[in-house]
Amino acid sequence: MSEYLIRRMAFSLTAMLGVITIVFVLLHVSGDPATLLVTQDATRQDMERIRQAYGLDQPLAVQYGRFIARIARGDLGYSYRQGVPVTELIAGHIGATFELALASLAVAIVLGIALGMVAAVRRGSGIDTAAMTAALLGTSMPSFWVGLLLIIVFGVKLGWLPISGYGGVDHLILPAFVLGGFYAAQVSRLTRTSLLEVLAQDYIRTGHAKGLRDRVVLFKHALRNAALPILTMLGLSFGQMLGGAIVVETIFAWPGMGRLAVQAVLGRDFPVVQGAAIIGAAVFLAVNLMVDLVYGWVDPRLRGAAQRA
Amino acid sequence: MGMIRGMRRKVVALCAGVAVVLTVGAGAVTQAQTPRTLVVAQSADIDTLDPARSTGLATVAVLANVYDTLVRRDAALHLKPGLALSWRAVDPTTWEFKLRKGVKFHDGEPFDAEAVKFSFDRMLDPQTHWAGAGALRLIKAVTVVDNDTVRITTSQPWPLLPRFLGYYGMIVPPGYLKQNGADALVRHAVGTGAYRFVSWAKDDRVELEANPDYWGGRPRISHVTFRVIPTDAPRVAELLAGSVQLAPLLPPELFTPLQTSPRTKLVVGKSLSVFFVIYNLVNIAKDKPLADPRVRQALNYAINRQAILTSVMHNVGTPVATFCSEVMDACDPSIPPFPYDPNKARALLREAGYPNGFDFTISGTNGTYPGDRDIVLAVAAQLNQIGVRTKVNVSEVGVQLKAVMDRKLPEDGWFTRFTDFFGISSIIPLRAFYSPGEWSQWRPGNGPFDQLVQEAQAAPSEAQLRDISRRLQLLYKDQAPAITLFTAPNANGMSRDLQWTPRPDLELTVGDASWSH
Repeated sequence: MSEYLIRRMAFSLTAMLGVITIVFVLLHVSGDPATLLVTQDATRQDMERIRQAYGLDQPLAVQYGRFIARIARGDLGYSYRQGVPVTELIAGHIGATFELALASLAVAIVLGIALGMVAAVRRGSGIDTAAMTAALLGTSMPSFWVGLLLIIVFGVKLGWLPISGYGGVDHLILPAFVLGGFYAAQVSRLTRTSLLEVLAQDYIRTGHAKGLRDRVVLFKHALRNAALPILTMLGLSFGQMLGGAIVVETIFAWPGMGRLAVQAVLGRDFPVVQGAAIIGAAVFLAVNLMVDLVYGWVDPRLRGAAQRA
Repeated sequence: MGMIRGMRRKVVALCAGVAVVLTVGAGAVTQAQTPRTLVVAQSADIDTLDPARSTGLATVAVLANVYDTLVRRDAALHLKPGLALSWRAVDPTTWEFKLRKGVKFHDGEPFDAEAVKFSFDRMLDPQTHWAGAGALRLIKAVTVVDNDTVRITTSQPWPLLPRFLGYYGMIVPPGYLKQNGADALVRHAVGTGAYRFVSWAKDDRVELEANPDYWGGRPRISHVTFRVIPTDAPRVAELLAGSVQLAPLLPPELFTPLQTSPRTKLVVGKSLSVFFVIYNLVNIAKDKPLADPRVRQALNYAINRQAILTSVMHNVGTPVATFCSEVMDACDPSIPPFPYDPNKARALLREAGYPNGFDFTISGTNGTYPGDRDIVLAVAAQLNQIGVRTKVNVSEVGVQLKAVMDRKLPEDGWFTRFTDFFGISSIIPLRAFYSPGEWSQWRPGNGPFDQLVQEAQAAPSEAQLRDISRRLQLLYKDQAPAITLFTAPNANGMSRDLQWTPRPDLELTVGDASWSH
């Protein structure tokens, strides 16, 4: 198992290096931070001074070398715009992102799997059609539109929920529903397909024949066998949510990593963009690793494969 | 089938549970909505709590409540005593400021001449990298004369210095910084202002509380929260719901709900921002259409400014004649804007040798300034009507500004907005049209125009400034280095019971705000 883990870590580090390099190149090609850090009174000298202070006047290869050396030391640098360590900015934003991602994952799991199961078990009925239509709408409707709609209904007209901002559980409801709802739609369709395939298997018929209750057959046997593709999708979705749900965070003024990254990109705050990319990549790879490990737990047939791999 | 009935029961129970939570939650929400806290919502967070680290609009708007400058400006931008009670020019390159006595910083430290010297030395130190240092580059030295007197010497005569110090030059506490390190203000603000800093949750909110010992009188509103809501629609939704009571700089498309709701009002302030389509005249060949001032004027006659204001800007804004808005100092109101006269436009084009018009491209942005995309498209449509075949290239503002600075703009015109926070009519010409200026696309430019701009910066008296400014404006109309449009909106959504006057310099100083009941 440990050999497997070591090999996965090595692969993950290589992948991260690739991500970091691509982000670095794109950033430096995209434009000059100095123009955006100054007011309209600035002179050429003011901007040169800023470029020098941030080492932006050095050749690209030198900047890259320095950058990698700093990352290896765990130093993500200082934000151009705010002058505080990037690690501090990320630490201040990642908690909110985790909260929103966990809440959205809960919505995606509960809503998605419930809807998919109901549709599969009642296949061909009105419930099935309704559920799958809901899923189609959930995938097609853009999240900013749904978000604004919910704000108008629940925030302005009814006044039941806060409209935006960070706060207690009530502030989490609308953004988690919008973000989670999108993934719930996809999860529900996959759950239905996967479950239908499993429900047609012989061993399911055997279970019924043995006299097991419907609920036991469904949850203990069918769902568990149908779980693998659903787990993959949930894992990928969670990884994406953690990377920063930019649109949802912006609409609902949620102070997470998505907001941090977007502002940094628009303001050409290089160290923050690079820091966010590194953390985003690391988190995504970690989630993928965890999903692979959970596979082994869910499907005993894969445990040996993971060890042998 | 028993399983499905069971599931249905579970679903019903869940819905009932949710309904209970929402009802209880609703009660809690309504209770929280009778605030004596004023909640202000901006579209961006502050960059820092240290005034020497940023000149960002969102940052200055908030910090102006916590820190003071030597000179203060009222809502009409007239100069008033701030931390300095009076000032006079001892000689052409020396200003003397008499300071207010008995003022304390929020940490109890006394305010005095040493604090002023320390603050200026710090903000102008190249190591500090303050983005506003360029505006104050004529300051050579700040000297302490006695505890309540300070002298500022400049490298050349600078009669406009007090005006600049009405916006820049926030005074910071030397003792606090010496004790807690040079970065101590970045996360915790300590000033002499009407409000004291309480907390800052990044990308979320800044909380301030009233300073009971404020030299300008204790603020009537005891707590202020500055929230960050990046998207316009939710910000307006919060105003309509009452959870936010002030939101500045709203885009025109969201004016109507605020005007019709019984809970809110739309209040428009004066503006220090002007929209232009600046001609790209960098080393322009003599045979190009824009090289001829008649062509440049013609395009000005082709624009129906009022129509754009009515349709795109919901009637918020006023046409501008040259480069200064009415609230700027020494802007001559008797010089009229170019009238809408397409016949004159066509006649001028014919005279200049372009009876069939010509091709014209404009570089525009989308979402950088409220209304930007719609304005530039409207301008293009109006130019097309007089035969100037106009295309608009929308690009991201960072990319556009870089091309402008490098003087490599591929388009013939640059749609942009210039703001002069100092409120002096000679500032925008200095930044936008003066040939050696960093943003100028008028190179080699016009000798007499450049000469007048230079004279304006050092005009020794108000009367002379007005005279030079007038001549500059007339020359501008003659040479027309840009299509001047109108002022950018300073539109603020407010709760109906909030009494507050929006400032032209967009500072959100709420020390004089109050509730009407």
